[in-house]
Amino acid sequence: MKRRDLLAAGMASMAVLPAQADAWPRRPVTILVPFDAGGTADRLARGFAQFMPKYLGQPMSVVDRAGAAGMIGTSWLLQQPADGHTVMLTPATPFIPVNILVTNARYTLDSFTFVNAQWTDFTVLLVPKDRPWKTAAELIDAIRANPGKISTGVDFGSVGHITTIALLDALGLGPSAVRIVTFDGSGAMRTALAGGQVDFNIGQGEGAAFIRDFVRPLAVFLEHRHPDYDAPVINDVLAGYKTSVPLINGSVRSFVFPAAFKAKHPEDYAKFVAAYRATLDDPAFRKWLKDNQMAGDWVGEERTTEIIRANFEALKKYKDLIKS
Amino acid sequence: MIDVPALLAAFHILAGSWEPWLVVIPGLLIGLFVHAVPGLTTSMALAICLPMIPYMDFLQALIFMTAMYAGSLFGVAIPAILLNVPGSASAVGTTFDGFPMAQAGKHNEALGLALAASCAGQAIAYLLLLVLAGPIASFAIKLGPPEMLIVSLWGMTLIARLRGRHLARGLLAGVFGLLIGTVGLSARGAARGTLGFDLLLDGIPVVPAIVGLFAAAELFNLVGRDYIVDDLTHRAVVASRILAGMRDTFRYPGTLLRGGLLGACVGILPGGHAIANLLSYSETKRAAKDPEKFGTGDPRGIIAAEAANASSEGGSMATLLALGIPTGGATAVMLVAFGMHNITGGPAFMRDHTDLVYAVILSSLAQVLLLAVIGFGFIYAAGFVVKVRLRALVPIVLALAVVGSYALTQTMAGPITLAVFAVIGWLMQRFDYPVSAAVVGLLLGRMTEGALLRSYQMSGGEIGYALTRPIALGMVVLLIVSVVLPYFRSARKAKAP
Repeated sequence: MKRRDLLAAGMASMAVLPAQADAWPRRPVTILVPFDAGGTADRLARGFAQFMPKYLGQPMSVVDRAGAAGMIGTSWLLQQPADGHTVMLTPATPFIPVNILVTNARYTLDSFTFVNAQWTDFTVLLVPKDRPWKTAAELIDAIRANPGKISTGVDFGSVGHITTIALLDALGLGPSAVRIVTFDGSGAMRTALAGGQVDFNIGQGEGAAFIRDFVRPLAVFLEHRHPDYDAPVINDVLAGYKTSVPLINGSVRSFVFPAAFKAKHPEDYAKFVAAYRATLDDPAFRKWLKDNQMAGDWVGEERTTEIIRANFEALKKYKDLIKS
Repeated sequence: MIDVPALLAAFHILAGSWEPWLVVIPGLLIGLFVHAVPGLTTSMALAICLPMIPYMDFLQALIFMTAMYAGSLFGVAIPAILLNVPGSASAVGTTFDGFPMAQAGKHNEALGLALAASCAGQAIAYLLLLVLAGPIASFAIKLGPPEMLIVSLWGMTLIARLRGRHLARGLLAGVFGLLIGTVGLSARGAARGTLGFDLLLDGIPVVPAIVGLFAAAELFNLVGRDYIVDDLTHRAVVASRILAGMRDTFRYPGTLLRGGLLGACVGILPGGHAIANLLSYSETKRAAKDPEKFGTGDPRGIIAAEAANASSEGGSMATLLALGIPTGGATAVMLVAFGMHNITGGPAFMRDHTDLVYAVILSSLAQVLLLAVIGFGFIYAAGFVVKVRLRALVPIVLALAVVGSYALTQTMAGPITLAVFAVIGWLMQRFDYPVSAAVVGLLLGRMTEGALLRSYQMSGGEIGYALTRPIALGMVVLLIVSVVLPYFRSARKAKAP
């Protein structure tokens, strides 16, 4: 008799649940960062954990699951229930396209909803200060005159690496025209660049701030010049060679949900986006972003997905050249 | 080379206000506790403390972080000595003689030796920095993959020295470690030995594997015993014996100085601080007249490993302070703190803020003294582990190791690695294969392979490229001399009547 009563009580309480469940989020929201603590995505996530709960109505916590260039954490996200209580914050490009194309991840771009490209980095061509080349054209001519002699440092599979290959391709040169030195991460690569271990590097602009005194910028991979780097736009330089390169965005940091969440619970997704936009507009959060030298742009889901697709296509085009 | 007005200004900053000092003791304490928390590493602890940084002024923030760093550098030695559990790669060398000493009832002395050696190593490094920060840093960034390759090869000669009773088994264990170390994605994007598991793309998680090989295997061996220390009369925590250990450290000034200088040199290399302790242990054993005593609880082993590990911090701080370039995880997090105060690293930092750099160095020297005092209290408390019955201690330590390995990897990969390597470690011990040789291989495998690959890529495969790297050539000569010389010496000895 007792057991039956308990069962009945249990059933009754379960019947009550759906009424309470209307109010998403029902429990604290986890921000998953598929990289180590202390990196840019992790620090940005901790900022949201501090400012966003006010607008979301639930606390947020940060979990770092690093590994395999973000693939371990991203796979884990897709294993969680698609109820919006776990959201990933990551440099969605280049890492998700690289996972798919280079390391054979078991997901596709369609597995995800990309909320907003909040903070986008750009790419820049740098040489150590003691190298003789003063302009990008001088470097290009030197590469052509001495094929296979000049070295470049890359973080394998990064946007800088892809752009290097794309630039050589645009000039009618193969990957073997330069000595490509592959580093385990952009930090080690930049240290080597600052020490003059390699002759040039194409890599992310904002991450290179700490070695600015050791290097000379020769070109930026943007449509317009950038205030931080006194160098011309790459496609103006390449106009002299009657060619051009695709401009691939550097890290595009965005909140990412499994696509199933938006498909199944569009209202809950809209609630998240509203809370997120309110946080972005919060003056206290804007000040926090500024203090931490981070950006808080709003471009929306559609444009973000476009950017990521364009980068995916560019990567796909050069993928075989990277692997060779 | 010392900028005297800036040095005086630094004294003035530090003496004129108590605020910078406020954070030293909390920093040291957090650092000491870091490795007592399973799965926490120094760089993770620093990252967790980052949100506090904007609320401190810049000098305070730097002092806080260096204090944490200093505390954790020594803290990791405690479980290494008492339980044979190295919390990170930088304490592997400490276990070689530390745990045998603890088992022999000399845990008080061993902890005292480690504390004093760690303090002395840090002091050596910071004194070097005070005089030579700029030149050390400029030299450091001239070192690249070829030089790193020579250093890792040098580290590998340790495998032969850890061979145990059988040379062939020692080498086999070392090669096994090296191969295991290359599992995962190479820097060229090739996946090796992952057996299709995504979790292995980053390689075998090193710390869980080391803990499995060393600790779990050792703990199985302890099953039949009652306490870590057999002899009841030695099973005590005695302050005077800890002090005696600290005093004894200075009876080996040569070992201490060699460890300190070697650590500072290797610490300036990217990733070098992880292997400084091993190189120093290896060199000390080679230089000793009685190398067979090492590994059985020789105080020189602890001193060599701890002094080098502690001073490697100074090496990596040199490139951070003088050039704003991090060479490891912990200094990379510190650079983030620079950014939070809108200070860009780079040579301009040292030029414009020489007084701040000196203030950090001076306060670090003061921290060394404080660490000696606080560390003493800390090991006095930690030493009571020897009084716990093994049938309680072993399950507790194993449980903490499992939780910690999970915390480190955030997946089951940690605990599974721990379990697999515990079995491997036990089997290796059972059949007389030296576990430590496999660990050295595991630590050096990835580093050596990456350095070799990049050296090859940079040279374009041309042998003549070596001539453009005079530092690397000089290191090769030193390496050959250091390997061959002992044989000449023993040959001469054999000839002499």
